[in-house]
Amino acid sequence: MLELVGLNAGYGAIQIVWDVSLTVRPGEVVALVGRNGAGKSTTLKAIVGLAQVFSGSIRVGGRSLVGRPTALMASYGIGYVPQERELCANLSVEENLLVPIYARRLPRKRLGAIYERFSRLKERRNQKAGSLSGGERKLLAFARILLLDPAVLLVDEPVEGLMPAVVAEVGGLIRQLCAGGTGVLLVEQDVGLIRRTADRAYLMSRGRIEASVREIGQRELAQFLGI
Amino acid sequence: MNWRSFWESELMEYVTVQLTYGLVVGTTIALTALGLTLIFGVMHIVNLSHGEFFMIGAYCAWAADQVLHNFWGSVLVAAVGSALLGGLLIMAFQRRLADAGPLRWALLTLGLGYVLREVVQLIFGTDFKLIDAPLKGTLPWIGGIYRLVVAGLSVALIVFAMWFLNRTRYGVLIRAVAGNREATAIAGVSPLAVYGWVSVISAGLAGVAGALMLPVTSAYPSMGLEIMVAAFAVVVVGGMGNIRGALVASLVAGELEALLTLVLQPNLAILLVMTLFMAVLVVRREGTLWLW
Repeated sequence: MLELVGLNAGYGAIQIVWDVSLTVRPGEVVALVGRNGAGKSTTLKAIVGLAQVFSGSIRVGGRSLVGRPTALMASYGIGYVPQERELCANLSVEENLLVPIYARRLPRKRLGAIYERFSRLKERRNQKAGSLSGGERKLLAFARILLLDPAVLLVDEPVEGLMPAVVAEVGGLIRQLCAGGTGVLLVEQDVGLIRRTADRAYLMSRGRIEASVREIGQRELAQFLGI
Repeated sequence: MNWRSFWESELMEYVTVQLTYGLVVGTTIALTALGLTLIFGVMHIVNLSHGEFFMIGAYCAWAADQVLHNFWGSVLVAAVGSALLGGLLIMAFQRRLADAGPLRWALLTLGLGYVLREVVQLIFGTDFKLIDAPLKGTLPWIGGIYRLVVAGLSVALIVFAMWFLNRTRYGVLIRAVAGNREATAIAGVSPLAVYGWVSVISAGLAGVAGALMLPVTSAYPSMGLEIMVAAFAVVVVGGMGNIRGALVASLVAGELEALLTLVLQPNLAILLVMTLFMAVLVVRREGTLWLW
C-alpha cells in the first residue's frame, strides 16, 4: 500500500504541494484529479524522488521513500510512467525494454511475454523509440515499467492527445493491472477515462487535496476540472 | 616527371609515410576525443581537464617502464592509473556539483587541468621523458613499424569501444542515461553509477593514447593541453556528443596536419587545421552533425 501523510513538496525554494495525504491500496485505481498547475504531477514526482520533499511521509509497504534516489524506486515496487519524456528516444524499442531487464538483472525471457502482450512493439522492435507514434510511445512506456512488475504504479496523464482507440487500450491495461493486484495512482483530466478506470478519486486544487470522493460523477468531475 | 616516375619517387614515399603518421595522430586524437565526447554526451559536462589524462597516461607509462622495463605492461599500468584517477576526480566533483551548470563545470575542470599539470611538473620536472619504441625498424612506404602498431591498436580500441557501447548491456545503459536520465533512473538504473563508468572509460582511453604516444612524442607537461585543443576541436566540429562525427573529424585533422607538415612548419600546419575547423563552425554552427 502507498501512503502519503502531510506531504509538502516542490522544487528548490518553491513549494507546490501542501499537506497532501492519500492512500492507494493493492488492486485499486485511485485518480488524482485537478486542473493544470494543481500540483498533481509534482505529487507523483515527489513520490519517486524527482521533486524535493520538504516534510511529510511517503511509505510503501511500510518503508519510507523520502530521500531515496529515483533509481531505487523499482526495487521498492514503485513504477512511474511520466507524462512526457517517458522513453530514451535515442534507443530502439527493444533497447528501451532491455534497460529495466539489465538494470534489475531480470530474466530476458520477460521480453517475450511483453512482446506477446504488445505485438505492435514486437513489430517495431528495431525502430528508434523517438520515431514511434504518440500511442506507441505510451504503450512502450507502460511495457518497460510492467517488466519491473510494480506493486504500485504512478501514471501521469497517459492519454493526453491520443486517439480514442489508444485511450481505450490504455484504460484496459490499467484495469488489467489493478485486477492483478497492482495499486494505481492515476493523474488524469480525461473524465471518461477516470470514470471507466478509477475506483475513487482525490480532487486537488492549488497544491492541496480538496476532497476525496468514492462515487465519481461525470458532472461533478467536469465542473471541478472546469470543462 | 611523368605519373609513373612520380609514383615511384622518394617524394611519393615521403607522402605515404606522412599519411601513416597522420593516421597515428588522427587515431590518437580520436581516442582522446572519444572520451571527451562520451563525457559530454552522457554527463553533459565539458571536461576541460580531459587532455591531462592523456599526459598522465604518458608519464605513468614512463614511470612504470623505469620499474618494469616492459613497455606493454607499462601501457596497461598507465591505462588503469589514468582511468582510476580520472574516475575518482570526476566522481568526487560530481557528488558535490550534481546539478551545477555547464559554466561551473567548465571552470572547475579548467582549474583541475591546471593543478594536474603543475603537480606532474613538480614530480617529474619540465624535461622531456622519452623511451625507445618497443618495436624497431621501418617498412618502405609506411615508416616506423611502431607507428603502424599504434595506429592499429588505436583503431582496435575505438572499434572495441564502439562495440561496447552498441552491443553490451553496459553500453545500452550508458546510451540510455545519455538519452534520458530520468526515464532510465525510473527503470532502476543509477545515473551516478553510469557516470562513474563513463569517467573511468574516458580517462582510461586518454591514458592509453598518451602511453602509446610516449615513444613517438615523449612525455612533457603541456602535451595534455595540446591534445585537448585538437580533441575539443574535433568534438565540436564532429557535433557535440556525436561519436562518429568526432572520429571522422579526428582522422581528417590528423591526415591534414601530417600532409601540411610536408610543406609547412609543424606549428603552422596545426594552426591551419584549427583555422579550417573554425571556418567550418562559422559556416555551420552545429558543426558537421548534419552529415551523420
